[in-house]
Amino acid sequence: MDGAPYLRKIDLSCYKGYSDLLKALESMFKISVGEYFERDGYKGSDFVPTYEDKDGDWMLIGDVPWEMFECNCKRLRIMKGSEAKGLGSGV
Amino acid sequence: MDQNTPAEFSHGSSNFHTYYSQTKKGGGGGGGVIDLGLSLRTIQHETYLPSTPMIGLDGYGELIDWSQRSYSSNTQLKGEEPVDQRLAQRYYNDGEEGRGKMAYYVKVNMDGSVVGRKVCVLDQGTYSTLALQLDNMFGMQTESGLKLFQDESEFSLVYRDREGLWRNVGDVPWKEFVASVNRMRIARRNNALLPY
Repeated sequence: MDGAPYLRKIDLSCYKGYSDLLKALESMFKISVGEYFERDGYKGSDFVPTYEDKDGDWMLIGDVPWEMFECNCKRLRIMKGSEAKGLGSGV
Repeated sequence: MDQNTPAEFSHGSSNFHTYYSQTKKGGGGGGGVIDLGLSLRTIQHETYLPSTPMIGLDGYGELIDWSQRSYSSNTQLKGEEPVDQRLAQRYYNDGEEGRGKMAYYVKVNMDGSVVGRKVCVLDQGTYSTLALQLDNMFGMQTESGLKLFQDESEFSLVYRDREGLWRNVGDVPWKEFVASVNRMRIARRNNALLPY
């Protein structure tokens, strides 16, 4: 997570689905990511949960079926709002 | 060791001689060909596993001879279509809901945006609904929305097809687009670069 002092490691197979995973992340980092909408992503929070896929692209968590996400996800990153929306000095 | 060289076998043990003559007879109409199943088409591995354990050579007769196999509707290849692994991946399990659909989730990135989204093109019926969905997903990052496909839009929507070429979205009929789209990008038009 952006701003956190160290990385954490999780096992995706421990989670049944997105809500399970997101609840765990919220608990782990003491944050709230808001609610997912297919239309506009996560509403109600400045934190944006993303993942790096096998191609090295950063994608929003939640768009694809859980099983597909499990196969493709290499890394997770909870971005802070401004960078996630492309307004940061960024990558 | 070249097993097809008769000279070596004549010097070898009688076991080798037997091996060679058995393959010569061939199994399942293969005419002496042993299929190791290394072709790209052998994605469904259960079709070439012999039903009996492969002790000695008795099992080889049950290997599938691909040149003569007729493909059932369960397999991913139909008729004489050329083997395109990406196409095969799309058709794989097309009958099962969910699995086949996974191939139609396409990445969308926008110029200037770090985080991409994924859109299922099967869920969209037309270019208009696609434009609307993308506007919902990315529009808030702009001042006045994406306005895709509109002349006054500062954005253009392009896609990469299965041959790796980048094309303008909307040039081909919708169904053709759905079948060939691999990835999409919302590009910011830079007026300074346009020749007109």
